[in-house]
Amino acid sequence: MTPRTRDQLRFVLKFAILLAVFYAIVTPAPVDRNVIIPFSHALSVVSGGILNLLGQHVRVAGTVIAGNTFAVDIKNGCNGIEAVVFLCAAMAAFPASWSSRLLGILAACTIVEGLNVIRIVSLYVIGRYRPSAFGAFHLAVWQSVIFAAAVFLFVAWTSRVRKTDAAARR
Amino acid sequence: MLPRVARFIAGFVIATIVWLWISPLLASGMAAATEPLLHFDSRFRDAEISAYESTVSVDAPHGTFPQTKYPSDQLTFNLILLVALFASNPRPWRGRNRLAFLISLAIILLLQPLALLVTIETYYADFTKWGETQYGNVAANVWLILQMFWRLVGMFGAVFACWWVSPSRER
Repeated sequence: MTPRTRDQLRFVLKFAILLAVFYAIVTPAPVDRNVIIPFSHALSVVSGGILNLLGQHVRVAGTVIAGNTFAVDIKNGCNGIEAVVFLCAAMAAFPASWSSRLLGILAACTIVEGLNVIRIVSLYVIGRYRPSAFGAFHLAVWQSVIFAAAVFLFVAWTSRVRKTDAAARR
Repeated sequence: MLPRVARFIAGFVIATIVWLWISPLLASGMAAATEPLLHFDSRFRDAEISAYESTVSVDAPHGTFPQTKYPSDQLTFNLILLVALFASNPRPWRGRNRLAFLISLAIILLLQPLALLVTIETYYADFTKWGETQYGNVAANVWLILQMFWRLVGMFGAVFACWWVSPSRER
């Protein structure tokens, strides 16, 4: 086994363990009630505000964004937390300084959640004007796009971290 | 980075179209592969799993448990990300990348019957009256946690891990 393969397998093992650990942190009912649902509500407020700016005339109640003919509910799996968990696990598993990791997690999670607001807004618009396409976009397209964005942000962060480390060694 | 993103988008679009097209085939394959696995659980010894379009049905010919249906495409759409990530690799058509992709595809396809098995067990354990008499609280919670973990982070985490360790990812 080459050193590179060994490093990669070590990374994947750490990543899998941390994925389970971070998932276990965000799953319990008290965390869901006090952190995740208020966060989903905040996403609903921001997304609802953007939809109103776009002339959609929606109301926000809890995690539900409702118009006259269509409504979306921001449930777990639609709030981007799963991508945040993924980013935290991947960046924590990758060999880097803690300051690089924290900065990377903060920046990447902000971008992913920004993208998630676009997902919510677009899904509302698709659901209202093209309901037949809602299922495919909700399930396959946007879920994959959010995770793809998380993967690309992680890859971009690793190349930046490698360059910084190389410069520090010189 | 930009050529990689362009290749990724091309792979993503093609993979989405192909996935929509082959979803019924994936559902049939999953149903056939999951049925013998489900028979290991004595409560489902006579279970029959069939697929119609992208929906999988679990039936009890002797009425020993209630019937259920599940949209199996919810368990297979991680294939889109798998194809797109391997398409984003430099020179995606060369042999080494194709081989790594096929190995990763085999791993992900092998995981799908397990995911369907967990989904079926979760449904009966946590969402049916029949399950209340058949599963203990711990078992019901374990199935639910496993199912949610796979659906929310595991199915994409597995795809990412396969792509990350592939030797064709960097050059």
